[in-house]
Amino acid sequence: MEKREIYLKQKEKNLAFYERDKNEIIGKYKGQYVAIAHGKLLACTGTYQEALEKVKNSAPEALHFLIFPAEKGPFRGIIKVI
Amino acid sequence: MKRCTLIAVQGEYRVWIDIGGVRKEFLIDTGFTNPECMVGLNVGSSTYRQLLAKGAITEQYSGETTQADGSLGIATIGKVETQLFYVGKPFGKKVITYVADGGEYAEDLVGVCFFHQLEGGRIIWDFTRQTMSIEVS
Repeated sequence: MEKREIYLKQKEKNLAFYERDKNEIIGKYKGQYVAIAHGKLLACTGTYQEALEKVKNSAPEALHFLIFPAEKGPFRGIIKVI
Repeated sequence: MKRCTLIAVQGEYRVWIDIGGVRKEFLIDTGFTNPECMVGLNVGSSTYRQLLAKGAITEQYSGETTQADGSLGIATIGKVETQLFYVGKPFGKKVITYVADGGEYAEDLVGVCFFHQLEGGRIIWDFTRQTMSIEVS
């Protein structure tokens, strides 16, 4: 499988997990940063940097992951850098 | 209306912006944009770390990026207060936007979504004179 294809599959799984569990995420982890990779919750931490460290340590091969403030939800859209 | 005029140097237009207390020159990049217009600036990782250390970044996300070659990736983005500067003085209102950590060797870029925050303003691009004039109320 091509890298891009793997990335897109991971993205789909991560977003599907968020959509399925968002009410629980918002209710349970408000005020914390949430990290999702490989379609599962990896961490709930006090800072973004702690969540990022958790992703690097627990899922170093993940091409796509989500980190966001629990009550706000993930960043949407793609940032074009041309 | 207040106006500042930028002159193209080697085809590039640059502006000074104070980002979280760090004043830097940014290249205007009309290709740097995002659908919900949250992210207005892109900086190198050392600047991003500097902003974090100063406590200038108040909220962060992982954001999906696409580069000119079509490759997809993840960048950290953070909320920051910014101010456009012209000849050493603040120009226009303060802008709250998100800045992307573009990586170690990233260029400092200001994109479409930064300027969209300057409500009531406009940019006049004079192709003949090769100037860009920013007007703000």
